[in-house]
Amino acid sequence: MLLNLTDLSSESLQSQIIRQIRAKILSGELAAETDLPSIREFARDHHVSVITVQRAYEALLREGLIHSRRGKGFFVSELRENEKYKMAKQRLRETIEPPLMAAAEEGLSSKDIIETVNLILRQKGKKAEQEK
Amino acid sequence: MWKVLKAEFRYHKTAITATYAIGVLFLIATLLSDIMKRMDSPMATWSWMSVVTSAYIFLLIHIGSHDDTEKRDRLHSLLPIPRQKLGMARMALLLLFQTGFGIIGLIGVMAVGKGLDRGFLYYMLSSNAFFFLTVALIAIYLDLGHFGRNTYRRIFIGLLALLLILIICLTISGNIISGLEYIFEPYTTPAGAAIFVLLAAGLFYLDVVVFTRRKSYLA
Amino acid sequence: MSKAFEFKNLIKTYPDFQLGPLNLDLAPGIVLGFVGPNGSGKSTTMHCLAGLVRPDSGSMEIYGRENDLNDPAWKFDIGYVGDIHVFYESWSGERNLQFLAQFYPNWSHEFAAKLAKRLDLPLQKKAKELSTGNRAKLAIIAALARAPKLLILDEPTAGLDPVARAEFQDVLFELMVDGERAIFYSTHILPEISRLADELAFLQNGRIVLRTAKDDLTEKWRKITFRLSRNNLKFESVVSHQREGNDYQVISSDFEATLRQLHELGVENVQHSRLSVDEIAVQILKGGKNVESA
Repeated sequence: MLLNLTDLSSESLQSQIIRQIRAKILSGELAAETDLPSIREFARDHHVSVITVQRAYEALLREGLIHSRRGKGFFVSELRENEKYKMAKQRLRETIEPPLMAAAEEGLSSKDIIETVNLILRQKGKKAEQEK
Repeated sequence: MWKVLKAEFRYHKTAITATYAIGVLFLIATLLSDIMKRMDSPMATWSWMSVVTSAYIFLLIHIGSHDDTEKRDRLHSLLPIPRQKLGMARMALLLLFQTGFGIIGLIGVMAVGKGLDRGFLYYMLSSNAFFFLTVALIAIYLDLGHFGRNTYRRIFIGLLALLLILIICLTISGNIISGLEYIFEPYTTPAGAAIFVLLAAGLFYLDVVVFTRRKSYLA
Repeated sequence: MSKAFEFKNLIKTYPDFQLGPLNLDLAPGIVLGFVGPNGSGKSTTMHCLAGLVRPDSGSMEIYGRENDLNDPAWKFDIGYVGDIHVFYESWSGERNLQFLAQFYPNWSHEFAAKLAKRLDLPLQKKAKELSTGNRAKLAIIAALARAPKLLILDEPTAGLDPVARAEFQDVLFELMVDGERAIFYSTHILPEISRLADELAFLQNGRIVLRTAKDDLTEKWRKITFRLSRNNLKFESVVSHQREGNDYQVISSDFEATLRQLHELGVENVQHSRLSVDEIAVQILKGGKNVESA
């Protein structure tokens, strides 16, 4: 598993790890029961401290995205589609709130904001079409 | 301990070889020359010995200053060797040098042949022991400088000064205690030699103790 | 398993400075960053641990063994890279390593050779001919080739070029994989340990002022800016603040608590950003700084 971790982000390393693994699980890129690297191997491969990885894994455990088996390590949890859907939606809400609030402060109306969101989604749709 | 000694020997082998080579060469040269015939053999021995002694002092200073600049104590103190063994290794190194020096002296004296009597042998032993104990005193003085304060050094120098003054006074007053009198006629007696050897051994041990108790091995 | 090291009430007194009483320990499997201003006693602490300086009182244990200068079995477990590197100067790096190898049963010549290659160190050169950076490399190899359980590093990368520094970091991360070793790392260059360190200990004037998990700092400290027309307020968990008119910039050691308070006060334009380990360390060591203007 290769993540993209950087010191130059506005997110802490721990958050980056959590977010990126979560994204891979929710998108299905990491299938259920895939085994995750051990905490120490992960730390070595990504040059982060062991405690950082430990806390990231603990957060993912609490969210129910991964589970551990004694002596065998960590595995992606089996999630029903609607669970994934609920989680992704919750994440969207958390992530999108700051930029939406900032946009509102800068004077944009709800209409402006929704228009922009649709524009972005339309572009993604177009790209997906082109790739087919 | 032996590994450290071996390393020190190997590291300084050029200087060590040169010094002893000078001793041997000079001895041979002396023997081959006319000096033997012209001088009383003790004088011949003495002139040759003084050259060897100079070379030896040179060697000690060379090794001492290199080891000091390169912070040898620090390097050795980091090794997994008991501090006491390390202290003994340092003194053993000096003792080995001194023994080599003494052996050359003995060979020289035997080669010259004349004037070799028991008294002279005791003289050799005493003078070597005296040389060694002087070096040991220097080592102790240097080691006393690593206790974080000057007190110990000052006390040590003070004691030495007292001893020196005592000896001078006794000599001048002509009132020498029989034991000292005995020793200071150049130490050609068995008792004298024994005392010097014992003193040398005592100071050997004292330096090991002082080294082991040092507060700092950073130098 | 016993602690990698444990100081109990360690004291070392000098005429104008005292280290301690110091109580510090390190569990195996952990990297502990040791941070403090010049003269705070970091090197002295490490000298005591390595057996170069005899403390005045207190005890030190390494993997359960008392740091006894006359019973040096504990030294087999440690690799020390000190503030000064000492070698047999007229000998080559290779020869110096051979000398050291005699004393350590776990020494690996292959590892030393591989590491020399990685760090780009010519082992045939005499120690006295090596540049500062290369001397540091030799010292690092000397410490690591004996497969130590506890690495004691006192500013080990001084003089190292960026490539060598990166390789060294790689090596350290690799060492930590088995979970049994520990690293005690003192440095001024915080970015070096900002990712590696699990925990940080801050030393000031010979005393530990803070010992914490690094993530507790990086997750909780934030720089927060906001607008508020009131002044003379005390802010929750704020260690320093600057104010220009109604614009505030504060540094908080627990941003969630601060944000909650600001939310209650009905504050506008709240933005927060991360602080680097460096910036946090400066705040901890300098104490708070309040700057007001206008």
